[in-house]
Amino acid sequence: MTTTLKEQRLAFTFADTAEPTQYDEWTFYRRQFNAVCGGTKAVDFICVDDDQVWLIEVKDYRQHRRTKVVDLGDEIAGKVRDTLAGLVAAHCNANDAEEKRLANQALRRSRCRVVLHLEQPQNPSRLFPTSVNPDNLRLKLRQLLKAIDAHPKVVDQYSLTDDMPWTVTGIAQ
Amino acid sequence: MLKTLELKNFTLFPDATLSFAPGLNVIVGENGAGKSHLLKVAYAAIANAAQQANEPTVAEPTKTLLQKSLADKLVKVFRPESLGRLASRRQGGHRCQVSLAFEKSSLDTAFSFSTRSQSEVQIDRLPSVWQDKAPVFMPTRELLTQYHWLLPFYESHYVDIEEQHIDLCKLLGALAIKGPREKKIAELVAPLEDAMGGRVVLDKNGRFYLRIPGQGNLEMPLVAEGLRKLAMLARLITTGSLLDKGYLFWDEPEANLNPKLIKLVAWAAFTLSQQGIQVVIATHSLFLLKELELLSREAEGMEAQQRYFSLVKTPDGVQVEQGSRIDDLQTLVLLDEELAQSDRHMELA
Repeated sequence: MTTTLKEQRLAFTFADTAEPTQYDEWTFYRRQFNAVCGGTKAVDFICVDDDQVWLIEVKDYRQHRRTKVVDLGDEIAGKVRDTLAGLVAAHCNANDAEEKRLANQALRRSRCRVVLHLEQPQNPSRLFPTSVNPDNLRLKLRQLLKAIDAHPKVVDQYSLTDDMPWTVTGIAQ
Repeated sequence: MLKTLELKNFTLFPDATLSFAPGLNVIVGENGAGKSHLLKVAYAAIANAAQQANEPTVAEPTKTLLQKSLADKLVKVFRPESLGRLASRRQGGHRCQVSLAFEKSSLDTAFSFSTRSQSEVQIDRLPSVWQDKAPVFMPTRELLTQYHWLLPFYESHYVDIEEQHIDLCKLLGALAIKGPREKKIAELVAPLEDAMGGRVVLDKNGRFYLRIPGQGNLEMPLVAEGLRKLAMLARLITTGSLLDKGYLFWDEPEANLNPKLIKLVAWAAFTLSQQGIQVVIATHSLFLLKELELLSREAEGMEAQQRYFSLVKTPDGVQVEQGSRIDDLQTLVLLDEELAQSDRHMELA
């Protein structure tokens, strides 16, 4: 059975072979890990599929402007790092048996994949056909996350690749 | 092939060791981070060793000969007020050391000098042979329009022009190669000639022209400045300076060029690097870097042939990051600025 998870105005429908979870909604993350070291961040979804674990962060700037806190590349990289640490902690300490099982599953995969799902603002100009050039962001993520995933992806709903066990559709307002 | 360049207390570099790849080497860094200094110091040492081999009374390398000629070349390439100005005064160290190691170790050269040195370096390692081919230094500006007066003027006056420009003029004035290598030259030059719409010729009057089929000769000053840079490159290939082997030090290949020509320049640099020329590029252009990445992806297995360097300004001087892929570098100011601009656009979008 497929699973559909929602994030902002996007619906992610995962293949029945995959086991996705909304990590930033986990009780362990919300109640325990969030406060570690004065505050940690989290990616939106974790998806265990075959022998890989996908860490998926969703950024949808079609409706709402970005209010910059840190550089986008640094923000994503920090979330990936914190999520990996959170998974290790959840594997040992999560009270919820399902969260513990999922953390355990995720950590047993042999490959970690990082995906930034980025929907860009929809008012392009000649000089900025897209606000961010995905190539630039991909290079930045490669630079920051090489030891975790040497080939991180930056996609939108129309550029998902065949190896990703999910589809994405927009949700009407 | 230059394998490593070690610098201690040289200008902005307190302590740096750069390991070069046989093919393409790309240096990035902010203005004033020392990219051109790196190109110049390696160029000066290699050019001097090639010059000595071409002196009318060519002698074996000796310390006496090298300590003067190398100092002289460094001064003429960098044009400081005195040689000692190239030794940095940081960290209490007053002595600067430079050493170059080559694939052929008989070329290895090391020298040092102090902040007070005037006209001599101390030779710490003497090569046993000279370089057999003159390196090429491509500056940011073209020289074809100045060729006819620059060389005679330099030879008859004391002028403080950086000598790599003069060396380049000499190479540009060399004769075109004839014989079996012509076919290879034609292949390399064809895309450049397509872009220029003609062929570079050196007339008997000592001036360069662009020969356009059906239209005759166009004076070089009337050719677009960006195209004149391509013309220099084409000329250096047809005269054999950039053929088979050798060194190409290229400072900001992107200067004065639109992206269409930058793409061509990236192709030329990449192709030369695959034809036995060791290419060292200093650049500010993310576009050029991306073109080079696309070319190496198409070619595959290029990692061993390439090397990337990022020069990072720190309170203790310039530090060098390096790796065989662009993402091995932690500091890429040119990328960060593009992304910062994207972020600013998203805040407004």
